[in-house]
Amino acid sequence: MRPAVQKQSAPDFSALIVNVARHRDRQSFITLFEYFAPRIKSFLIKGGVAEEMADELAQETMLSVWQKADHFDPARSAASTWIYTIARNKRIDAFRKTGRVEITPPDYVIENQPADDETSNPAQALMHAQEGQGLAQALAALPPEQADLIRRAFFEEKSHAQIAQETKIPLGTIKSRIRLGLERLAQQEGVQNLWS
Amino acid sequence: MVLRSSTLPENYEALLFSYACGALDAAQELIVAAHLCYSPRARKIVEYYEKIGGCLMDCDCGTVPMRDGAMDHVLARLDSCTGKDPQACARDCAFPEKIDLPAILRDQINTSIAQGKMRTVWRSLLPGLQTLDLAIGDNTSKARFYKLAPAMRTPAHGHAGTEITLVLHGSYHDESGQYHCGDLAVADERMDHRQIACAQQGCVCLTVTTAPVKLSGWMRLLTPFYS
Repeated sequence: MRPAVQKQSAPDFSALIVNVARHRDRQSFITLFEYFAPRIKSFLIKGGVAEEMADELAQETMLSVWQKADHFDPARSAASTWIYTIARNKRIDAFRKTGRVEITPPDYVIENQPADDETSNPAQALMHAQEGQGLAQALAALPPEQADLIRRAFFEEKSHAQIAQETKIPLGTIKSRIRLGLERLAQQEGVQNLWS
Repeated sequence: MVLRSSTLPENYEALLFSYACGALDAAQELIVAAHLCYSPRARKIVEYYEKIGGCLMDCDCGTVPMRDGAMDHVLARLDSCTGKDPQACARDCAFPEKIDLPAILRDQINTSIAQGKMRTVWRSLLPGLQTLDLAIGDNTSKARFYKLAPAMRTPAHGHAGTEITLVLHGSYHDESGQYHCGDLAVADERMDHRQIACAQQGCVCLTVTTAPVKLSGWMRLLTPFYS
C-alpha cells in the first residue's frame, strides 16, 4: 500500500493560486509548480502515460494554472481538486482528437441555490484545505479491493466496463465496490445527503 | 415484455463518477456536461468525486521529478499567456427548434453544422417522432436529438448498451418516472421502456447511446429503432 505523503507544513496553495490570479505573482507560481508538477507527472505515469508525455502534460497543466487562475474559487474547491481537473482535461485533450468540453459557472442554465452558494466564504475555504487530509486518511482506511478500483478509475481514466474487462471481475461487482467505497469515503468525511 | 426502471441510481452515479475520472467518450461527456449546466445537485456530486481525484493526485501517488529545465521552460512561456480565455459564445444556433440550450450544446451544434456533419432539419421516423443526428468527433457513442409530438409514445424498446437521455424541452415519462427539462435518464441493457411525451409541450431530448460492444445470447432485445 502506498504511504500517504503529506507535508507537515504545506503552504496554503489556494492563497498562492489567488496570488497568481490577482498579482500575476511568479514566486507563488514557482511554489505551486515545485509542489504540483511532480505529482501531476507521477499521477499520469501511474495511469500509463509515457514519461516524456507525462512531463509535457504536467507543464501544460501548470501553464493553464497560470492562465486560468482567475477561474479558481477557493470557496468552491481545494487547490488540488482544481488542478486535478485541469490535468485530467489535458490528458483527454492529448489522447482524443476532439477536445474536452469545459463548463464554467456562466454556462449554468440553473444557478446554484443560495444555500449552495459558498462563494467568498473563508471558513469554507479553510474547510476545503483541511478536508484534503481527512480524505487521504479515509482513502487509506478503505478496504483494499474498493480503494484499488477507485484508484484505477482515476489513474487510468477507465470506465466501470473497461475495468471489468481487464480484471475479469463482473461488472456488477465493480460497480458495487466503487459505490461502496465512495459512500464510505463520504461517510467518513461527514458529507451527507449528497446522493439523496 | 418485462418493463423495469429506466434509471437505476447506481447507473446515474457511475456515469457522474466516470465523468469525474475522465473516462467518458466525447458524446457521453457532452451530454453529462450539459446536464451539469442544469443541475446544481449533479455538480455537487461531480465536485465531490473530483475532490477524491485531487486527493489521489496530491497525497496518494508520490512524485516523479520533472525533467531538467522544465520549470524554466514553463516560466519562459508565462508572458505569452494573456490570462484570459477567448469567450466565443454564439447566442445564435441553427438548431431547428427554437428552444434555450446550454451554451456548450449550442457550440457543438454550430461546429457540427459548420463542418457539414449535421443537418438543420428534422428527419421523420414515425408520425410525431423526429430525429436529428449530432456528429461529434471520433466518439464511439452516437448522439441524436429526438422530438416527440405532444402525447407521442415511442415504441417499447430495450438497449444494446447504455442509453443516456437529457430532456431539453417539455417532459416525458416512462415506467421509471417523469423527466423534466434538464433531467438525465440512464438506461442499460437490462431495461426496457417506452417514453411518452407530455401532452402539452411534447418533448425534445438528446440521447447518447453506446454502440453494442458484443452481442451475447441473453441480450435478446435489440431493436433497430435506436441504432
